[in-house]
Amino acid sequence: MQLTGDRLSQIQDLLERGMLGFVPEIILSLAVIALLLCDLGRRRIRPAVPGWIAGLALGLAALWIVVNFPAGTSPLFGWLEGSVHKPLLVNDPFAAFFKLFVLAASLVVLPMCMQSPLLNKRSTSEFYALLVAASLGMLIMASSANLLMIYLGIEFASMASYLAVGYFKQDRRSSEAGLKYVIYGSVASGIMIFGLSLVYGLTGSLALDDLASTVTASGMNATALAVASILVFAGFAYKMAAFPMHFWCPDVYEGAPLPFTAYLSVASKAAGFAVCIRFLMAFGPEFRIRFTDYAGLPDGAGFGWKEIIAAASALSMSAGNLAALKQENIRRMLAYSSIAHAGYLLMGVAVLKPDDAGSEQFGALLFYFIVYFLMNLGAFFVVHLVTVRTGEETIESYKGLGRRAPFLAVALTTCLVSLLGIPPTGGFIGKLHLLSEVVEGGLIWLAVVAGINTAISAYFYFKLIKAIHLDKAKDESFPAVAISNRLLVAALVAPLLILGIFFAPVSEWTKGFGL
Amino acid sequence: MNIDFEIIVFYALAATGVVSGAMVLIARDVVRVAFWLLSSLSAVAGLYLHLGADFLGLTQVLVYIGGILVLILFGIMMTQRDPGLVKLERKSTRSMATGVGVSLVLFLVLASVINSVGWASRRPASATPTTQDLGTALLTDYVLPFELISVLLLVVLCGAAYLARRRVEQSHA
Repeated sequence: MQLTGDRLSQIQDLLERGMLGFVPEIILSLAVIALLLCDLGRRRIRPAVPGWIAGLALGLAALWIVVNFPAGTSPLFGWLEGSVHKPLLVNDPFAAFFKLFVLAASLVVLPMCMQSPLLNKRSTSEFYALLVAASLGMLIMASSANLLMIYLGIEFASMASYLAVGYFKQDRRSSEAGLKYVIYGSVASGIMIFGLSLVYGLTGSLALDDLASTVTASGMNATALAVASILVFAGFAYKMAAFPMHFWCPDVYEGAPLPFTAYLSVASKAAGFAVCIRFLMAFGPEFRIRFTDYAGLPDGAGFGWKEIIAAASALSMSAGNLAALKQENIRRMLAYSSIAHAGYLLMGVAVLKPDDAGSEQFGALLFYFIVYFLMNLGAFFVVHLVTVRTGEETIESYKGLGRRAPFLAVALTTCLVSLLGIPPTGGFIGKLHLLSEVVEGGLIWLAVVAGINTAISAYFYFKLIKAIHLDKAKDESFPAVAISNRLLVAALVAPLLILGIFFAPVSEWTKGFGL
Repeated sequence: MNIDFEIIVFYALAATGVVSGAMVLIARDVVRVAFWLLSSLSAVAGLYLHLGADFLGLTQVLVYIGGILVLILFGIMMTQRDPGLVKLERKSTRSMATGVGVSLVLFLVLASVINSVGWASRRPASATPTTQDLGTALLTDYVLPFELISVLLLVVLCGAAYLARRRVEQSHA
């Protein structure tokens, strides 16, 4: 196949236009290379330098997105079929929201990395390279509009995460966590790629737009497409740590370097949701498997993706909350709590509608994402500060924290109360918004399940709060916390309280990021 | 007659792939597992060639058989004094039964679904070499994934080198 001048200029044009929307990713790629090279000099660099390079790149990428915030949808890269642009990536407000989310999460996690004693021993530029690479993969996930890019983005984020989870190779728990993450991840991505190949075979195209147009076409085998999509969903659920792909979560969260655990629980989950939502929206609301095609059941009996997501949501929150009840290690407890939150978030996904009709639902879901960001990173930040000082991770070791470190204790309590969803925190408002959308969307049973789950989760959140404030510690001493760390914790916790009372502007603002 | 021959070739390759794939799971000697894997991967390479994907088939041979499989055998050879002693433990009957049951259900669902679809055949009429088209596609329409994979490989390479590196820092310090 010879490339004629016409086609060449077309390709060049698409590449040049695509580059503009791709600047954050380019910054991150350059940062990865710079981080890998910065250790090569003859003189040892100071251990803090890689952290600052990563911070600079992540900050620049975030700044670029804020300044050039996309007003509408612009397709990036890909090719032209006739006059139709088949993009590989898209740059739209939805993608920009999740890109900023991922970048902000990595920026919050960076100071944790730089303080971590195990990551601070000598120059550890590889760790920061892996962190930036994982973020790069998640940016791709957030904006991919093509089955190939979905797979590549997920693999990119996963590969970097596997290596970062097993980074403390002298620590048995870290190595074990890394290995478990790889094995579960390979199974999940194997299932997903099989599903993607079936979707490709059914639609004959890798573009998500084509999926949307073939779904509604007559003669489409809905059952086959549904089975293929459920296989694809396995890969997404693995990234979100939702049922039934959540088994890796507690072990990995317990063994991974703590800053990276915090990162996985927020950024990785959000990127998984972003890619899943984009995939689901391609199906549109009409996609249903009708039982009438089989066994002569009454007309209208059937199910669509809404029911499948709702089932995954109910099972995720129940599995997470029930297993969290008997956890003694705070990281495992927070891991199960994050599985439960994947369930709450999926509840919001189940009622999503594309286009302007769904701005309310998108608003509720994205508001909860912002709250989740603050409360989960806040909780992990405090856990990090305590672990660095005491070297302990059991709930036992949090006894009497209220007297030993009042500031940290109050901050952690606020985050836990918000995770549980009690006023006056953002967690309450977020959950209220989500539940009202779920009820309005006709899934009342799911709202009931979520309510029961909130009651169950009160037990283990309050168990920790009781240990912090009511129980007596054996050792009352606690090393001082620097003012910079206090400020960072306050920056995460204060908005949580503000969002609990003064939420209207933010909840209005999040309505503008729908698909 | 021509078509019959094609079908015979297909079923022969598919049977080889499936049987040796099952043997990979059943065999207990790691070296034998490696050789069953060789047979399974070769059968898949044969299927690719049979479908007219010549570049893919040869890459499969080069990468999986020539690279990964040889690496596995070398790994066994270097790390074990007596390769014949590497035996995998037999799983308990209960976990075997669960595994077989789950796979069987999954297989039946997938088989019935895949059978119910009239797949559009995109097989080219004549077997033309695909290498040039693949190269063009990789550097035009698919240049973005191509470049991204190169960054990914760089990261994974450095990360793997980090994990495999022994602790020499202590002796330096």
